[in-house]
Amino acid sequence: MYQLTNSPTIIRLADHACIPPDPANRDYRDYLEWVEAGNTPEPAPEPPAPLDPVELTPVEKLAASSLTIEELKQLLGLN
Amino acid sequence: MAYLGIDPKAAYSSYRNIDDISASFDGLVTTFPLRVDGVAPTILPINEQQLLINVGGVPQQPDPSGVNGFKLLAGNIVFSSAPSAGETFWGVILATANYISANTRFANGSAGLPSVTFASDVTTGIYSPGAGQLAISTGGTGELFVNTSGIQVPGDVQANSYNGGPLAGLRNAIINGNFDIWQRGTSFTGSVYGADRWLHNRVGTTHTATRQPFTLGQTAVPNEPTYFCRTVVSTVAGAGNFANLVQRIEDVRTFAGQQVTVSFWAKVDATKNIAVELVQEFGTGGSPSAEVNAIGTTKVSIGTTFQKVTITTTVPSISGKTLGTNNDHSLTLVIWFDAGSTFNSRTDTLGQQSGTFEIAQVQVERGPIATPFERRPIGQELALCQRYYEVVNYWPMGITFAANGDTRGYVSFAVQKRAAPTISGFPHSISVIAFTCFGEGVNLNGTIESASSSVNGFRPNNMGNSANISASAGGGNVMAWGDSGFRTVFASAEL
Repeated sequence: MYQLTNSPTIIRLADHACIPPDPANRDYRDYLEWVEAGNTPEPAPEPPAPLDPVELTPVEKLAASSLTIEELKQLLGLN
Repeated sequence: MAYLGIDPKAAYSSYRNIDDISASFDGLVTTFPLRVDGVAPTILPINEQQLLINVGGVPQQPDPSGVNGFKLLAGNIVFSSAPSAGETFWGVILATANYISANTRFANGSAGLPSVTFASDVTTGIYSPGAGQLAISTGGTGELFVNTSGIQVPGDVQANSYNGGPLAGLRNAIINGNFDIWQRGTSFTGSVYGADRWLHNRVGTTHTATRQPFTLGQTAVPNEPTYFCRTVVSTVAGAGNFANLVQRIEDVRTFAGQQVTVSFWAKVDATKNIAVELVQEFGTGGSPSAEVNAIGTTKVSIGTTFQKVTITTTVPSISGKTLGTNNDHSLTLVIWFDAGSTFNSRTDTLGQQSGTFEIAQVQVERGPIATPFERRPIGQELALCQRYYEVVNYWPMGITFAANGDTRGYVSFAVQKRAAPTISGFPHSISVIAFTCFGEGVNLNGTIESASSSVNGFRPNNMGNSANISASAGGGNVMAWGDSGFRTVFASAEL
């Protein structure tokens, strides 16, 4: 039994081995033979739902910029 | 004086004219020094038969007893009776006579004065340094010695090939023939790769293959090997059943059209036969040629003590053959322990049998001779094995983008693989220390679900809970994270 993933890698469920889609790989050839024999791999798990972009507070934005309030004031000509 | 035919003195340049001694003839003196151009020949004739001596127009009889004619004594010509004054003399040393003469014994000689030399170089030739020894010197220096120990060459040896193969190292096409590398473990059942590069193969019949140590100082197998491979076979009747030990040597071009010698040490629990064959496998994909098997098939009786098995055969040419497109062709060595009747033609009708089969120091090399087992440095042998299988201890770390869980990380293999390998060992949990884009550090747990591999390395496909990590970390969009320790995965690209 095999399972698809959200990448080209195939998971062999017996040992959770990650099989690359390389025809020179013996395990991948076994997988292809298994499919040719009429078997169907399990689908890939649903990828995690994208998160909404994080809304930062003004304080967090300031922290992310590494600016101090004084430096920001100076930058904006507010001193 | 006229001669019949050509002048014997000039017929061949290696004739040497003996200096005329007739001026010393007085009817009293019988002994005259043998000289050529005023000096004693560098190597004197060793007997009278190598000289032609003529006195007064009469050929003189060579007579070692000295009763008639003349004899040689200590570099002198000694006549049986004194030549009279006024008698003529001529004499020659026969062509090459002082160097080559059948049914005679040469002086031992020395490196500076070999016994067998040449016209233009009397310090280059053959001599005997002692009993049972033969040597060749050039320019007065011994350069090659043959004795009961073999052949010794003090200087450099230059040759196109030895046994038609590589000059020295890397002549053994088998990897891990000494059974030193066991990355997967040391005991195996089923049809699996066990000892590195070795497929412990079976159908129907059962077996257990294990690593076994040699006792230090044992002499049954030379050169102190560390391990051997023991396969305990329990046969199960069936035409298609078998148990064997297999190594696929990458690339069917290997030894194609050439003579090869297979050698190994073997022992069994009670005297039994084993069979050995080579197989040319042309790979998969496309329309490859059918395998060529039963190459050099030989059935050998093995006893209860280690014995060396040596089989020389010729691997067929691959002219006209077609390779598969998957780059997985090989020359394959098969050592058969148990073989149902389906395999009679490949095993010389080995048949089915149970037993304990022990194998050590397997070598496949070009040429007709089984040379001593080539013991490569352990690091080199491991690297050769790692082209096909590698245990990867790595420290998981990477970057995850919270919005979609995209995780980036990469781990290089120690050795580039034959093909993109299968990676096992996933999923494995990790204890993450993550740093958000705000510089916050958070301790979290996560799971790496799978990996994508190439011949050079692999990357974790995703962090199973990367989104949760992001949320827990307080809203960072990008997180750099690292595990708290090493994890182990296994990369396999076996043929």
